[in-house]
Amino acid sequence: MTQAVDAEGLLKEAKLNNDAARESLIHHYKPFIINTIGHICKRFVTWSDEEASIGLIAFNQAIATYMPDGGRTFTSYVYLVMKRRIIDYYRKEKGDQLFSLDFHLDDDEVAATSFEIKKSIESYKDTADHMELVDEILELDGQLQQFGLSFEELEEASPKHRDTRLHLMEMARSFIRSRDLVDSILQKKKFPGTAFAQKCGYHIKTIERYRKYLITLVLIQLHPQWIHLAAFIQGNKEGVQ
Amino acid sequence: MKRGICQGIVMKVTEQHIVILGESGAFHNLPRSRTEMPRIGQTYRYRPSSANPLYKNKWLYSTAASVFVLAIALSVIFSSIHPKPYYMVAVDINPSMEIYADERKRITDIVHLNKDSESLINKTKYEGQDLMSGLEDIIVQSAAMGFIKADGSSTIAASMVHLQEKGELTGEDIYQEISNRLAERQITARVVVSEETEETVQKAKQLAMSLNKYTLIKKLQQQGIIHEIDDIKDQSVPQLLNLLSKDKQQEGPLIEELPDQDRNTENKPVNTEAIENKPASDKETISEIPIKTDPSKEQPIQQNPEKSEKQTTTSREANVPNSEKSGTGINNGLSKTGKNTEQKNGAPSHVNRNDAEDDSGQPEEQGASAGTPNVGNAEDQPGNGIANGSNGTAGSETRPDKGNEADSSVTVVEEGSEADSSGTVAEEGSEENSPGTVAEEGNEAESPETVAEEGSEAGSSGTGLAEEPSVPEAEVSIESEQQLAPRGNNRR
Repeated sequence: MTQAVDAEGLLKEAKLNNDAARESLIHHYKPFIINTIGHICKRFVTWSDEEASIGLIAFNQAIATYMPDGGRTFTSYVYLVMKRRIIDYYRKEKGDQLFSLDFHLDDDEVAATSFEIKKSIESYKDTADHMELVDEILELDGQLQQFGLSFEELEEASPKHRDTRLHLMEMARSFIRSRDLVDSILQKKKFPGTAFAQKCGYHIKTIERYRKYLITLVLIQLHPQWIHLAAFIQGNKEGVQ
Repeated sequence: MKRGICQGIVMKVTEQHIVILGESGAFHNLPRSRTEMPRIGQTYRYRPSSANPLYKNKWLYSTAASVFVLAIALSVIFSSIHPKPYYMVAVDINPSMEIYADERKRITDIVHLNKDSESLINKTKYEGQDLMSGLEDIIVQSAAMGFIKADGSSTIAASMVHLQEKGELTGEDIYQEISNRLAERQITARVVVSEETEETVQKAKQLAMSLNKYTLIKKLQQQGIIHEIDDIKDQSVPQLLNLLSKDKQQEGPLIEELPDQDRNTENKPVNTEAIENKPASDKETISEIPIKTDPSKEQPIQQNPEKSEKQTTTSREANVPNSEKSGTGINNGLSKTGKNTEQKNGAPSHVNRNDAEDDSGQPEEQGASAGTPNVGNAEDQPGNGIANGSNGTAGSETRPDKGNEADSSVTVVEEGSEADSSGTVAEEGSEENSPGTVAEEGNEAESPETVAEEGSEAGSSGTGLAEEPSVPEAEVSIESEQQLAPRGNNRR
């Protein structure tokens, strides 16, 4: 099995002023940070935006102030800190009569925003249990990046039919049963399509066509701790009604 | 959950998309609206592609697509049914119009060039009709509405254009059609038919004038009568024709000189014979047609029959009179020229008969049986009859008598009605001067023949006309078709 990023270990190290661990932790949570800021600001935020800097500072602060025994997950805590920082930033901006072009705050909107913040926090509490899922997603994202893949590339390689998906699941299971193939994929960070086809007898064209999706499946199956992702990817929850 | 709504978890949010891992285990890149910013790991509901509005309205879109395809197919079929027109006949009476016809000579469209044309015809009525019958209708209608007057003062100018490859329809056919229709109704009119190219049509359109007008103006320019188009741009087609005619009148003496030149050149007696053999109508025609200002150009044409024939074939205007080869005298004059050359070397006494017979395509025996040689000539040429008729009238008052001799049921009354037509001068010249004289001298013909020869002087002038490639003009006055018919019967 592959070694996922040990977020908890990094966090502990970072709290002990280990800059490398802090850097690693920030790097690991970068997609989460930028996504959370965007969610709070209700717009797409890039790293060049001021809100992103505020969010990064808030994340850094959360590392220092996070108490594992406080009853919150690290990600939910980070979310809360970042949100407060962003709200403070906008209040300050409003006081200075500086308005963001994308975030017009009149009285009504402030009220609405406050309401939405409350609702958002509540809903976040409701989904606090899913913070593990976020960690899983972030870890999967990190793993895929090592293969030069990103989530948006997976749509093309996704099976359109249930039978195909089940067949690909079976192929992934066949893959991880072969130690050679697993070693090869983890070392070379490249899917050994030909070897897999020869060894397991699958058609090379099918392998090539669904290569990216197969990599995802293999990675998820190589990380049994990603239970939420595994549940989704295996189609245990059929969405279409 | 609503029917057709799926849910998944947000894996990533990019500027363009929200990447979802659906519960089915497939990844989806859903388009993201500007304000939509879901969190990673958040449950996200979405409408799968099969349930999106675009797909929902598939009937609408498929209908639109099929209508589009049908429209394309129909346009292709329509274009194949109505291909680019094959012929264009530009007609200027007073009403001016362009008649387009397909390969089968069926009218596809009529473009009105003035209001008279609009009042004259309803173009939808003519669509699909045969070009010739359409043309006939237009002539009849024009006559009925007074656009063509029976007094001979009217002018009908037509230009034939092959818009695609050369079709079987020619300017001759158009000329013939118009002439016949006029003859049927005993209408005297000046008929000018030419063949033009599509290029000329385009140039005329650029100058916003009718094709016939443009070609006449071009001729006037070429002959140096006018220098600027703007000077005469507003003039009508008949006025332009008159300008040409006046110019011809001025050139009358040049033509008169020709016989003298022929006399001087002993090696070229062809002309004299040709002139002898030609009916008076031809002689009169030449008065209308010669436009060349350079006598040196005129002379060789008449002196060398072969040359003149070549010019006839190359010149579309000359082809128009040629249309009378079966009927009109213009072309007869031409062909006679060549034949006379041979005949003169052979049996001069039979020359006249033979010529006429050849022209009419009749065997020699028939020509011989026609009686008096010269009269026979005139009789044998129905076309001559038409041309002669017109020319004869224009030529002299004695012509009717000659016409009777030559069964000239078709008598041209050019000059009587048109005082300023150039034909008068030329005719006078031709009657008084050398052509007739030379012809008589050359043949040493007796008096009856002389009369016929005088009648055939027009034929010689017709030769000149045919030789002149630039003028497609012939004034025709036809008394009646009934009068023409017996002649044809006699001939046959």
